[in-house]
Amino acid sequence: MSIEARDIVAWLRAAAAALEAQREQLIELDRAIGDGDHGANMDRGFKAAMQRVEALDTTDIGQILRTVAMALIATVGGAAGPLYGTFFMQMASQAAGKASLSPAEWAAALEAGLQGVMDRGRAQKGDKTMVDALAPGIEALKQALAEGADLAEALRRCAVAAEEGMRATIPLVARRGRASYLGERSAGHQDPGATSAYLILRAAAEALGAVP
Amino acid sequence: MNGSGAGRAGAGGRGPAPALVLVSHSLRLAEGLRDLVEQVAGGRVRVAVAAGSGDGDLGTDPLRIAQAVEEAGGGPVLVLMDLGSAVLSAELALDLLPEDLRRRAVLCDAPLVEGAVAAAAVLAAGGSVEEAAAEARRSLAAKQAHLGGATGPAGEAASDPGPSPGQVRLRVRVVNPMGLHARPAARFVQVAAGFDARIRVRNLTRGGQAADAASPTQLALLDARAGDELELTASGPDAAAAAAALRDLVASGFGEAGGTPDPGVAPQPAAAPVAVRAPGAAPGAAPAPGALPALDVPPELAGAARVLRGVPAAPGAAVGRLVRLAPPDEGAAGKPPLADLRSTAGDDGDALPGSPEDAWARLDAARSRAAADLAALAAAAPEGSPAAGILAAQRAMLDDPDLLARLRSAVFDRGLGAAAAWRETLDGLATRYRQAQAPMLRERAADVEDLRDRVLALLAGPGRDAPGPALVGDTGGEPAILAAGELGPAALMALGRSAAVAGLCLAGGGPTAHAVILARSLGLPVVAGLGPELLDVAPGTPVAVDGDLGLVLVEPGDTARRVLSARAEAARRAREEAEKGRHAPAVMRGGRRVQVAANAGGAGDVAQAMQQGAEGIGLLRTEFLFLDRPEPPGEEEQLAVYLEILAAADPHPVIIRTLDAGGDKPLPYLDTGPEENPFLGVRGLRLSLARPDLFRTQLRAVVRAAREAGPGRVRLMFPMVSTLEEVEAALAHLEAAGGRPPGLEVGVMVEVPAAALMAGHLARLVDFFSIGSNDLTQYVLAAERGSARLAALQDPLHPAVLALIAGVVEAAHGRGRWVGVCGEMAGDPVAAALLAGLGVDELSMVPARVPEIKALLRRLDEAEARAAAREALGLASASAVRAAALRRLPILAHPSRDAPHA
Repeated sequence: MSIEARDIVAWLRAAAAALEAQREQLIELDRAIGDGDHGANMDRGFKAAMQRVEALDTTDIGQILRTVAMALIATVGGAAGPLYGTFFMQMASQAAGKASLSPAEWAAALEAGLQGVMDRGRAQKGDKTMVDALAPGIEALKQALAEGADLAEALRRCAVAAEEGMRATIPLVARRGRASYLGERSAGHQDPGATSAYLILRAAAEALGAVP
Repeated sequence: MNGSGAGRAGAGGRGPAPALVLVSHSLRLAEGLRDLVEQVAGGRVRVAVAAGSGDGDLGTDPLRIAQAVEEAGGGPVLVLMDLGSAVLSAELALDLLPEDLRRRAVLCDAPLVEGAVAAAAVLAAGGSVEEAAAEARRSLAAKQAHLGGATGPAGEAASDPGPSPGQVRLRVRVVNPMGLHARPAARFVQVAAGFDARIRVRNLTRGGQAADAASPTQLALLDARAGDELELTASGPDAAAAAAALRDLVASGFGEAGGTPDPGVAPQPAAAPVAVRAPGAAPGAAPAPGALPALDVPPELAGAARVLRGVPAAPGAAVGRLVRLAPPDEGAAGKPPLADLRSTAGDDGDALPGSPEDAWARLDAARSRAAADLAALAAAAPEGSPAAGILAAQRAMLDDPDLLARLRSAVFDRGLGAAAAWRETLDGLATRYRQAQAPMLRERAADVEDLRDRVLALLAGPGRDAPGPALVGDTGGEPAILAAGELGPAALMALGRSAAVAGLCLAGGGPTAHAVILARSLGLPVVAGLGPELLDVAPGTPVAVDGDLGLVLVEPGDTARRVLSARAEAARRAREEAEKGRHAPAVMRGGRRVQVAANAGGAGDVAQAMQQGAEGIGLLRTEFLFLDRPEPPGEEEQLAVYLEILAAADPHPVIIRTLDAGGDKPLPYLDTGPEENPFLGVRGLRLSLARPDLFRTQLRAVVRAAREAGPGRVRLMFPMVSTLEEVEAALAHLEAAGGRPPGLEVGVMVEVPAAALMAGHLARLVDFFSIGSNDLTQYVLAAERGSARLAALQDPLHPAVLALIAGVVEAAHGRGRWVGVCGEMAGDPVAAALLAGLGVDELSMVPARVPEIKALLRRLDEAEARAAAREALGLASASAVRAAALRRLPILAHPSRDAPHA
């Protein structure tokens, strides 16, 4: 049971599709507590990323993820660019030269990505950022794998935990990013970054849940 | 910029020219800013723009930033950015660059517009990128000063945009009674410097400008007093840890709460009228000079030609003749202001006119020399004396970035010579202190002037020494009583050591002046705040000082002379007796001997300890080896220091305590991280076991020192022990580090209640116990050591603490182990008597306390002390214990007057 390069591309495709579908919702969320560009930025960034990925002819997962990272860095514009760019860059360095990843390697790559985001944004859990969806999701993924769950089940639990983490950002007061300028007024709104992070993890459950 | 930039050209003359990269969400903003910058830089600085997202919208593009840095021409690059993703993108851009390029770039957290203009001005004048970054960071100050003064703190708070991304912002209230004065400020700077973070501090209660945590001066000028709320804003990689550590430092009251080692520090003087105290009573909260009601001179002190009234600043009495300090140098204090100096090349230190670079080099040399002199004075001060902290604060002032910036501008921008620049800069600083609202701050002006004169004397000539304590006035063989306007701490240290002065009168100053705190620690009576009329008294005039009442008698009457002389004499005799007997053993009446040893925090303390008659080092704190350095000390370095200390202590034993660091005493290379409650965190032995690399290195050095010094000379002690397993693990490390050579005793500190209660079991593993009473008290009573509000709970005489100590002694003696006490209580006469009564075998204290405690023990009856200790164990409170001990042991009722205040 391993994740091949084509599975990674399927995941990215699913993520791009989800971000496109949820573009307006993300814009709404970001308009409430940010500058309203998150939906458009993510959609544009992932479209650009997929264009470059589809043009690649490689089975090196590291190279695929690095391509995504560079595309996001170049095209997203807002803070999500460097943050997701860092996320995929860190994943890429974990996967460098590999044509397939074991579930444990996959989890480790995601975890490296999360660490990169936390380092780059100086964000912790509870700061009302994408970390609030990524961290519980990846934690649940690792735990499920440790308990012997198969990849599909582990990814399902990962998506569920990420969704819970995303919803849990609603009452929080933002401590990072543009929303932190609002202080207490940022409470009561779901964080757009946590939402896009959830969408990306859910895309993994959809695309990789069927990995044989 | 004025036209004097040429003077700095040398600084930027190395390598390719520096460049500025402007990062913004908006291309139009960045290009407009470039125009603005060009106006200042006039084509002398390369300016690149990296703005807008990849497709031309608002946004930032890391790739474009990376490219701009790459194309900047091979020199150093200063990157300034606007907000939010610009910061993240700039950081990511550096990550994308090859190592050599990355190292050439500096990300500057200054505001974009102000910062860019300020930085360009510095770069255009030949300054370095670092200087430009520093100037850029300061660039908002002008605007803040302009608008902040009009709107006050409320207006500032309203316009406060909140922390920007990457920043950590915390609030904390000042709890220590004296607020953020010089020593806490120096400590603050020291802690802040341990982190890779930029920290600014604002006083929310009083408003005013934000202070840079790198500048003790700016911090002190926050005028933060007890109860004020501070806001800490940190940015940079360690922002969170730095902010948390500083918050904890402030919240802990900088460890200088009332009742802690600095008993002389009075709380902020109250405006309440003062009652006349009985002679001999310790001065409590002293009134401000102006608040003194006309108090009657006691009849026995009547008959003087004149009576000057001041603030009783340090207790005691002295009778003698008045002397004055010789002016340190014709130029030092009373020279004309700088308008005249500027053209006077022949001014004290400026005899050789030269380039600004020469002046700067001379200033550098004089400042280093002054720092070394102050360090030497601090090292010579007895351990536990406040001198070290005070002199360190003065030393920190020498490197204060704010001061250096002003000095640099005086030298390079205005072409002043070394001495003139130094004088002008320090005078300006002293004036700023004098204009401060808080008396505490006004008193710091004397420290500044002390520093001014010290460096001026060094500049005046290589052969000349720092201002020596030259005294003017014929004493006719009588004791000298020094009268001065104010006195700097360093000058007083030099005087105190020369023992030429028996008492001190100050026209200015107050009970919290550093010189006064030091005088108190030296046992000198001090009256401060006597007013300018003091300086009208001619040198050589007979005077008497009553430090208890705050009186100076000019030409005192015969009775007054006799009474005050007798008091001075009694105190002197008690001190002398103790001094004379300091090398004799402390054998109690009844025959039991108590070992009296000293605590040491470095080689300097050890010599001092031996001189005071210590019978060994009961606690060598090895932290001094590990502090203030980026890397831990190696085995050879440690071995050399241990051997040096053993040689100094010869033939006595030395108890080497392994590193006692942790969240409460963080070290840069120990990634201890912030802890919610550092006193209950990974510290002491816990930390050593978590870092076996450091621990083994230290153990190897101790084992080798023990082998080399011979049996019985070295004892090894582990701090902060809670369980047997920890000790077993530590002993296993010791085996692995070379094993226990014969005659190496191994012991544990008893600080944790669990260790005290498990002493019977621990006694199987170790040879001795040493009770760390400060921490034990803190843990038993659950009262943090540094908290002023909990001072009443921090009394080690509490029966609960004594009961644990009694239990340790019983368990240890039952197995043939010995017990020492190395906390502060060992040097307190009442506590020392009770500990001796409990059967403690060794007391270890600050060196200065050794003679008196030895003298006390010699006068103490063994059986009476035992009975007093037994009674204490049955009492219900610390105050009851103290009262009962004083009642039962009459010799305690007359401790010499420099005993620590309870």
